[in-house]
Amino acid sequence: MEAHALADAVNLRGVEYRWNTRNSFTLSIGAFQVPRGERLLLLGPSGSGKSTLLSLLTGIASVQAGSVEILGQPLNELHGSGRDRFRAEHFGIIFQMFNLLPYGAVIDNVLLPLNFAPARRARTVAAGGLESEARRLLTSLGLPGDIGRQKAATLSVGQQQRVAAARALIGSPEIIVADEPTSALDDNRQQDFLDLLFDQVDASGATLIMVSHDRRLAQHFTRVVEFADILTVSKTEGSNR
Amino acid sequence: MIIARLALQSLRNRWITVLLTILAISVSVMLLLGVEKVRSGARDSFAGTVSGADVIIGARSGGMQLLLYSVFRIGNATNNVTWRSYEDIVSRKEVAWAIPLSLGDSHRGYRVIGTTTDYFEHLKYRRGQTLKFAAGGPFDDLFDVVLGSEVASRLGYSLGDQITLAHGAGSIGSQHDDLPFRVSGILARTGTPADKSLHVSLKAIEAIHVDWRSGSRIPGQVTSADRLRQMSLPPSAITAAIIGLKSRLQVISFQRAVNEYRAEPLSAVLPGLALQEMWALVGTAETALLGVSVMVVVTSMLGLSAMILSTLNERRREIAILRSLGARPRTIAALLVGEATLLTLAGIAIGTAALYAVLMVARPLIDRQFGIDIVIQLPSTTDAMLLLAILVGGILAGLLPAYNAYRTSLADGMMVRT
Repeated sequence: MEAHALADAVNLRGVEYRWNTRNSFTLSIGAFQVPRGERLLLLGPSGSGKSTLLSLLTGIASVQAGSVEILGQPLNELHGSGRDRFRAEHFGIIFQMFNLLPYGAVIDNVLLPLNFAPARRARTVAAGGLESEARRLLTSLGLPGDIGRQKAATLSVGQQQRVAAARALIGSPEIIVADEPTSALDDNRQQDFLDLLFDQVDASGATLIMVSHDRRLAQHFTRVVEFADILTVSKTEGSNR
Repeated sequence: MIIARLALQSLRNRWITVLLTILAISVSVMLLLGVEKVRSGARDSFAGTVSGADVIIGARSGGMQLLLYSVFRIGNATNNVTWRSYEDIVSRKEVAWAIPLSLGDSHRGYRVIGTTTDYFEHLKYRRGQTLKFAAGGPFDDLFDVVLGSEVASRLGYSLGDQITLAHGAGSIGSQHDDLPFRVSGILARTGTPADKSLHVSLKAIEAIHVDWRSGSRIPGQVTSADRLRQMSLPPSAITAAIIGLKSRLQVISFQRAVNEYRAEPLSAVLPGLALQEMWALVGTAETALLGVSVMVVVTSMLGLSAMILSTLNERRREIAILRSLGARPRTIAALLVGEATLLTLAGIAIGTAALYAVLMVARPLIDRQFGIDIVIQLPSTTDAMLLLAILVGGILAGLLPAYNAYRTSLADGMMVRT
C-alpha cells in the first residue's frame, strides 16, 4: 500500500490500442503521467480519441500493447470483473449529458455506484451514513436539500449534471473523470458548476481529469495538455488481420 | 437494494409494454392450463360413462364395437343375444345385478332402449352416481316411456305427453304410430348417453313388434293396446347386457366363461379397459389441442424475448451508465434475465388466478353444454409441471436479450453513439 500511495494517479507507457471495429486505426501513447492531486485539462476536438483514452484509463477497454497503471495498479493484471470492481472503487465519472437513470429517484442515482464498490460504501457510512452523505453532497453542489426524492427525469440539465457530480464524488474515489461535463450548460452555469465541482474535488483530495474542447476553461486547471501532444492516431499500413 | 428498486422503476417506466407482455403470458397460461383441465375433465367424464359395472356382454364382436353400441348407443349390433342365454348367464352365482338392453327402435333420431327397472337402480356414472329422476318415475305400464334429459328438453316433452316410436334407427322409418307411449318419467342430466335415450320396458319392445315380421308390418293384423297388455310376451332376444358382479376378483373368470359359452357365440368386455382403449383413439384430438396451446405459450415467450430485445436500444444509455459505475456485464445480463423471470411469474400468477375465476363461473355451463365436469381443485402435478415449464421458458426467453446486452455492454463500454 505504501508504494501505491506514492504512485501516480495515472501512468501510461508505450500504449497501443487498435479499435476492433475499425481495425486499421491504432491509437498510440508514448508516455503520459498524471500525479496525484493534479487538476488536469485534456484539450482536443471531438473525434481525437478522447473517449477511447477514458475507456483505457477506466479499464473498460484494454490495450494491446504497453501498460496502464492506475494508482500503482497495472490494469492488465486484473480480470474483466476485477477491472469493473477497480473502476467502481477508484473512479467517479461524469459524462457530457444523460448521466442519470431517468426513472430513478435522485438519491438512488447518487448512491448507485456504492452497490459495486464496498470500500466506497464503507467510507460513506463512516463519513455519516449513506443518505446524509448524499444529501450533504447535493446541497454543497447547490441543489435544494429535498431534491433526493425527485425523479431524475424531472430535473433540469444543469441540476442533472450536479447530481452526476455528487454521484462521482460520493465515497471519495481517488480519481474523478469528467468528459465535457459543462458543454450542455450555458456560460454562467458552466462557471457555477466548475466552482462547486472544484470545491468538492479539493475537499476530497481527488485527482481530476477533465476532457474538453473549450480552451477557455484552461485557467482553472493546474495543467493543460493537448491531445495531439500525447497521442497519435495512425492508419495501420498493410493490416493483415 | 437500490439495483432491484431501480430495475422495478425501469419496468414501471415502460408499463404499457410490460403490461401487454404480462397479459400475453397470462392468456397463454390460461389457455394451456384450461386445455389441460378440459382434457383431464373430458377423460374423467368419458371414463365415468359407466361406473360400477364389471362386464358388458353381447353377441360375439370386437370389444370396441360392443362398447360403442351398448354404452354410447352408436352403431348397431351385428347379432342379438337370445333371452335364454342371457337368463342362463345372469343366473350364475357371481352375478349381483344385470341390466338387459334391447336396441333397435328410435324416436326422432334418439335411440329407444328396452330394459328393466334395474337400469334406474344399478346403472351408475361418474364415481358411482345413480340416475335420478327430474320428474316422474320408472315405467310402470306397458306403454310408459322414461326420457333422457336431452330428449325431453330438445323435443319439449313433459310428463304425460304421448309419443310414438319409429321402427329402426332412422328418423324417417315406419312408425309404431298405432301404439303411442306416455311419458312417465324424465331423468336428470348426467352428461352420459342416457341423456339421449328413451327407455321402455323389454315387454314394450316385444309388444310394438307383435304385428311385425322382418322389419315391416304384417298387412291387416292389428293388435290393440289393451290386448297387448294382457299378453305375456316374453322377450326372445336382447342386444347387450351390463352386469355387476359380487366381487371384482371374479371378473376375469366370468369374462372367460362368457367368451367360451357354448350355446351361442358371445363376447364379454371389461368397460373400464375398453373405455381406456377407446380414449387412446379419440384422445389424439385432445393431444393436438394441447399441442396448439403449447405453441401459443411458445409464441408468448417469443413475444417476451422480443419485447425485452426491443427495449435494449433505448436502454443502451442505461447499460453504459451502469457499466461506468462498475457494474459487470454479467450483472447487466442477470438484470435482464431477472426481468424476464419476473414478468413470466406475474403472467403465471395472473393467468392461473384468471383461469380459476373463469372455471368457477363456467363449470356448471360446461357440464350442461358438453357433459364435461371440470373438478375445481388445486393445480395437479401435471399443471405444476406445465407452469414450471413456462417459467423455464420465460427464463430462456430472457437469455437472448441478456446475451445481447452482455455483448453490447462490452462493445459500447461507457460510450454510447447516439
